[in-house]
Amino acid sequence: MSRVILRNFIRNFSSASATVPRTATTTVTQPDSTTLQKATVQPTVLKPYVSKSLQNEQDLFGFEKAVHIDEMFKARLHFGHKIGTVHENMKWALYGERLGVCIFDLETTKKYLVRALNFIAHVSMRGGMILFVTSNRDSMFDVEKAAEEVNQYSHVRKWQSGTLTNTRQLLGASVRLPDTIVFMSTLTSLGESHPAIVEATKMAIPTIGIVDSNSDPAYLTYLIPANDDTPNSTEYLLRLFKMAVKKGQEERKRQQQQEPGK
Amino acid sequence: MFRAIIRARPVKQFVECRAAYSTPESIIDFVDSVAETSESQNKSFASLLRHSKFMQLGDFNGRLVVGKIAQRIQDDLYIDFGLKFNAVCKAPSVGSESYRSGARVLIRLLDPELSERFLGSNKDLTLLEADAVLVRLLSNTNIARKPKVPAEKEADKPEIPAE
Repeated sequence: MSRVILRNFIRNFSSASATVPRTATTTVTQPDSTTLQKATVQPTVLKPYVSKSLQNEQDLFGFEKAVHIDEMFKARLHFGHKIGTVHENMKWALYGERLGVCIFDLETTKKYLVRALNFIAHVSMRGGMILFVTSNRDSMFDVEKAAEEVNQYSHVRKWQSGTLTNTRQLLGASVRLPDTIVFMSTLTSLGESHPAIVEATKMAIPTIGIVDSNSDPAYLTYLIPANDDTPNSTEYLLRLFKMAVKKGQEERKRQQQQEPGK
Repeated sequence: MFRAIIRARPVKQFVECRAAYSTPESIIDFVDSVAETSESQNKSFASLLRHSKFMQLGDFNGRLVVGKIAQRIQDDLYIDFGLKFNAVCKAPSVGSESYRSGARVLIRLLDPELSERFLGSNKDLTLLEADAVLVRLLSNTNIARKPKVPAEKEADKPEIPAE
């Protein structure tokens, strides 16, 4: 019995090790069904199949150098709400409290911001569609304008329930859903989480959210702990998001020029 | 426009601020931005926070701070004084028209965020605005009289937070 398992294990292992060099040499290889089944338990077995630009862990677009702590500080990203409104699940991102006002640790914010920007740039590099969402009245025009400038999409008005989950009923046709949703503020004016967050999760759309000290980080894929109320802060973050989308688009153009057959 | 200047990196900033040197208010912005950007790069967040105006302000209650009117809607002034939220004050009936957006005012800060816990809830409800009392307009004529030494003027003036 144990020998059979061992033999199976060896066979699996050897077949896996046989496929790895092949995937390294030939660029496009589909994982077979057994590998896919294994990936449901251990997703890292799919790593040889993802594209080369994702294999190496380094910062492909150089966002580590583009994000400065002093700029973030000047844009007032570190100001949170008062301590009485703090959400239990946002305490990890706080540096502390100053006379009742929460202060974010910008070193932590920078780490998460770079990660989110990297993700946006990679999505944009693969021709993804990015939707910018906000429910903040002060920043809605800025968000709309920023999305338009980089040829992406925005939704800043009232969210009709089922916009993502029930498109057939609402729009009468099959539509393409966005590949990534960026929430510039995750709370509605009533202090509840934005309804689009849950809908995006149901449709398996990765989300990026600016979470303030009173926001609920649940169901968001990439969090950016920062101030989402001050216009300076939103302007700064939008500028970075635009930069990330543009960098991805430029990289895509460059790749297409290199291999015109594709 | 001034925010865009403040955001730019120092070298570029110097040139741009020179170009925008014409009005007295831009001088204040110029001095602020130079004071802020010098040596602030490569500093850790802890030291930035430690030396910020926000920390120097101490207890907020009753502090006199300088703010800039971000927006005016009828008689309501939305005053940006460098923290998270704008303070909302009524424009006085005397000389009401000089309280336009972009003007600098002196306010007495009471609370950086109006939030209160209602009975039965376990979280505060916030109004997303600061509480302050309008003291007076920082008149443009004062600034125009001695435009070369705005730093001295600020010495006898109360604290200006982050902006």
